Amino acid sequence: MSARSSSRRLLAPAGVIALVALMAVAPGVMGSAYWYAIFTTVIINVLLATSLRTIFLVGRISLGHVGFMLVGAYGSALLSMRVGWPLWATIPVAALMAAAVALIVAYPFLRVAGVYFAMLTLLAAETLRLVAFNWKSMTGASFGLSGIPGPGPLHIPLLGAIEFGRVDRYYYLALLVVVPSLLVLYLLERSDLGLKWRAIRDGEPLAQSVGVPVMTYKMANFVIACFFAGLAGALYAHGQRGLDAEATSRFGALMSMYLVVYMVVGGEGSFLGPAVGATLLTLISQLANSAKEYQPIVVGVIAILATIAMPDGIAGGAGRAWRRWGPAAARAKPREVEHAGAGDS
Amino acid sequence: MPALETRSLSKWFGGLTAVDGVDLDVDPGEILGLIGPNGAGKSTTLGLISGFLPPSAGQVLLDGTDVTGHPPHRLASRGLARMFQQNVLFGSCTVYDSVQIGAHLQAVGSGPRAVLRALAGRRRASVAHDVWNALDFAGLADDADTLATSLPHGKKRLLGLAITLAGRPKVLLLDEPVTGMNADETRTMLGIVSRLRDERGMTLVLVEHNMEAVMSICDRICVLNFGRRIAYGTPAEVSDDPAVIDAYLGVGTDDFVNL
Repeated sequence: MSARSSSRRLLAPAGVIALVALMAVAPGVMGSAYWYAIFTTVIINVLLATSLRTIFLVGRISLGHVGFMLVGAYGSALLSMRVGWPLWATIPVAALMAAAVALIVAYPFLRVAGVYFAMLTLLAAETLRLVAFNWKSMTGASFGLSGIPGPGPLHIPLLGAIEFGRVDRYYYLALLVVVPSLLVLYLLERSDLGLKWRAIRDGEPLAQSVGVPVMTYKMANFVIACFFAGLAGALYAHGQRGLDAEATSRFGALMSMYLVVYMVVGGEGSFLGPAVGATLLTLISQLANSAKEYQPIVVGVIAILATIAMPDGIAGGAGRAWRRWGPAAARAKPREVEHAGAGDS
Repeated sequence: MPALETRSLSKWFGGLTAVDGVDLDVDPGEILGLIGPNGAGKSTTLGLISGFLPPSAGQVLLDGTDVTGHPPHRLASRGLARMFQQNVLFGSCTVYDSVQIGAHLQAVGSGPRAVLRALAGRRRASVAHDVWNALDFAGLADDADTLATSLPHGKKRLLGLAITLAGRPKVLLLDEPVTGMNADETRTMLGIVSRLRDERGMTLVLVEHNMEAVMSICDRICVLNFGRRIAYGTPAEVSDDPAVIDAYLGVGTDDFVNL
């Protein structure tokens, strides 16, 4: 819209492109199929943490994001196992199921103050997990689901069939879903809707008084964020080929806490912050995989150190360093006033 | 027909009656002052009119239409805006973005499809005209890139005004617009408020403690005490009213008349 900030606005997309390229080659550089599996987890966590930040844009923290991931995971797994739909259908439909669950709970949850919202989301996620853990005929209860089909070949005219079944190929399928999802979340944040979300966070009564239907906007926010959590869950289900809903599984309350930690350590102030946090911390906890019971300690200590050293997260700290020492700092450019010609459009 | 009218508007909190059967009628293009000692129910009345508090009894009419109990955003789409007491602003936004939020109704309108329009729309260039217009009017054009929180107090109040103006309201409620301002800032704000009436024909309701300000720009004044209307009339009439003098200063003081 304005020349004034166009260079800064280009910086974030450029960072995303660089990150995508890096993510596309990273597991290959590491060399083994094992790393493809890890990086699949990484990008799923990136999508979860980034969509969690979407909720934070209206000033709310959800401690139950994995609940909606669970709906997406079991939804997609069951649709493909029981109904026999192909993945290309089950993954988006499962994400819509997560969004539908979010829509049902959105109104009562968003009516209450922030702390209570966090508690309600936590309890909702645990409830969903316990349903999955106990509904024997549907989810296999404590045995879990196994034999979830992977993706079939994708037939493209002229190019023939592309296989996504192998672990390394599945990573690229996940990337194919995650990257556009991140782009959508980014564009939403930059849209008029995103501006009003920020307005609600900053001053809800003022936003209301200028005509913003605050509740509708908050509900839209929550439903959209949970849609992408569901999408992440569906990707997770078909990558793992098996699901269980133990308290220690991906759907436990601890995982929701981790997502908040990813977001805060990465820096909830910028779009890329949660992605950076999720990537680094997922990799670090994978490295500590040999001592799984110590993982919470490792992640916790890193989180504490990072928040002390960088109160606005890794991305926030990097941003400040860039402004201080980067190329833009050298030439403090005069601001253009975009007054003339801005009107009458 | 009055632009804004209240009929025996009342609000009680448990056993406490904050507003007690207040009748107001504000003509189009008029500035109505709402004054009274601390705790008289001025801000509560404003809250009732602007939809932030549901009235316990009585009615609010906007252009003759009963809008009692409508939520604030629906009132906004009917042309009623409110500027808040103190500095209620969008803290993380620049001055420009804040005013752009104020132009919400211009950008996406109201009704069920507004969210879809917001979803589809970029931050619309189409509201730039409204935004700059409001910034110019409030004298904030040079501060467009400044963060709202780093403005000095007087400009924060002006920003609060600009945010509401961007939505092109017909009726504007101002809650203590010049409180805490120095003489210069007060003069600027009062000048803008009277221009809103004179140049734009806007209808304004003003709650204010600064008596000199109220007396100088209001066409009529309503005096509240303990939630009741005790006087209603021109500044001259009201300031001669013994009940008002009693309410403000106790019996036997004539300072108030001299203002």
